[in-house]
Amino acid sequence: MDMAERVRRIASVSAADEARAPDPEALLLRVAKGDEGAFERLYEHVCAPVFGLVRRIVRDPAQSEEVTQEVLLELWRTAARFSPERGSVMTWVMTLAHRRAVDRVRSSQSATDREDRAYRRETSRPFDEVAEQVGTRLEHEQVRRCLSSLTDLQRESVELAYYRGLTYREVAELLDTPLGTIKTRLRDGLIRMRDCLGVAR
Amino acid sequence: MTADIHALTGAYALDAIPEIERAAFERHLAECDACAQEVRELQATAARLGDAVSEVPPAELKARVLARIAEVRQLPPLQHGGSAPTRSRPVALRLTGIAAAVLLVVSVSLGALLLRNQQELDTQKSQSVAMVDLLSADDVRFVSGSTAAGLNGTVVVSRSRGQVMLLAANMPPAPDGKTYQAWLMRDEGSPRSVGLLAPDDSGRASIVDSAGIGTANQVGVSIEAAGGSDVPHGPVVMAMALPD
Repeated sequence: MDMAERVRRIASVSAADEARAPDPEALLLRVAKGDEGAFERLYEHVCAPVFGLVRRIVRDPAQSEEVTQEVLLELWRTAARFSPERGSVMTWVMTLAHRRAVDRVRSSQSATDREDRAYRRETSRPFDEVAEQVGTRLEHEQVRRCLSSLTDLQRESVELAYYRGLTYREVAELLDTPLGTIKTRLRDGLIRMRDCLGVAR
Repeated sequence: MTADIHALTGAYALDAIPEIERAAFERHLAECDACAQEVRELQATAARLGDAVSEVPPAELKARVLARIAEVRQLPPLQHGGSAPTRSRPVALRLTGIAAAVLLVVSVSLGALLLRNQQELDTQKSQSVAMVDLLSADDVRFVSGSTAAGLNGTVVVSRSRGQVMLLAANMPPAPDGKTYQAWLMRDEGSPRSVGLLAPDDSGRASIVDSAGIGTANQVGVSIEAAGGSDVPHGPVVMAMALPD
């Protein structure tokens, strides 16, 4: 076997390994039994989505790392309590990550609420910023495409709530739109995203 | 289920519901299978939004997390085949009947006699008048409960008079720079502040409100910045359903 052939073989083996992406559900079952090796593989699978989302909301890098660590430790701690009928492991982890990130910004926010509100107004940027930073992977591309299929108000509301961690009341204030309208836009915007992404019903 | 509360599935899936409204919505979720299903789908959708902003964390984080798990005990699975709540409720309340309420009313009234400050006495007097008013209403109802943290709460309500009284016992002092604030909540619309609650040295606090109950179906107490807030931001320490 010549060198080029060997390189091709090695490359195709690692590509096959790559394609055999770890099944998070199977990994979590092993984590629940205390398998630290499985936890390490699960870490590799979820750390970038978790950190990316937390960082988007919390912004401060050091705090984002803290929150990410909390989320991953919680995953380790409560692995045995995961119930698949409530959704996938990825949804579970991301729901937890979002919650923790939002808790972090809201607890520091209540102390300096007024300043914070003023700050958010000042730093309000074009809303396609998030879409611009969306990665190039196919799935990410699909999220971007689906986001752009929303009405402006749906997209702005969903992005402010999800990526900035604002409550619907804060979104309503920021967009100077009635509360009931924002509630409805958050729901119908997400429903449109769900259908566009083909999220299992 | 009203159309309005159903519309909160989106806000809920995005964690865009203020803490105090979440408790009410989660109660609703427990009874509404269609809403719970929709929330699951919308949470899965939101997770995709999160995944789309992936960012690889610094490599040191992995070493830190792997080192930490060696020190963290894993929880056992839940028994009875039950599933864990998506998010644990801040409090679990149990009914303990009227006795506690009456005892608290008496102790609060006795407490009033010990007050020296004239202004406090005036406030206390008007509260006592309102309290007597409330207790003598035809439709007066009591609900008592205690939280996992040992906080006891009693709500006395008369819808015909639009009055509600909240009595708390075993309440630790609010954290520095913070205060307890009581809220009347309904499924739709903003919670209304009932006022600030300041526990005395023995951990008791009370407040009477005669400004009308409307469609409120829950009383909650949250921890807010000193001076109170327009809308609840802080953690909820107690939440009780109002009797109809």
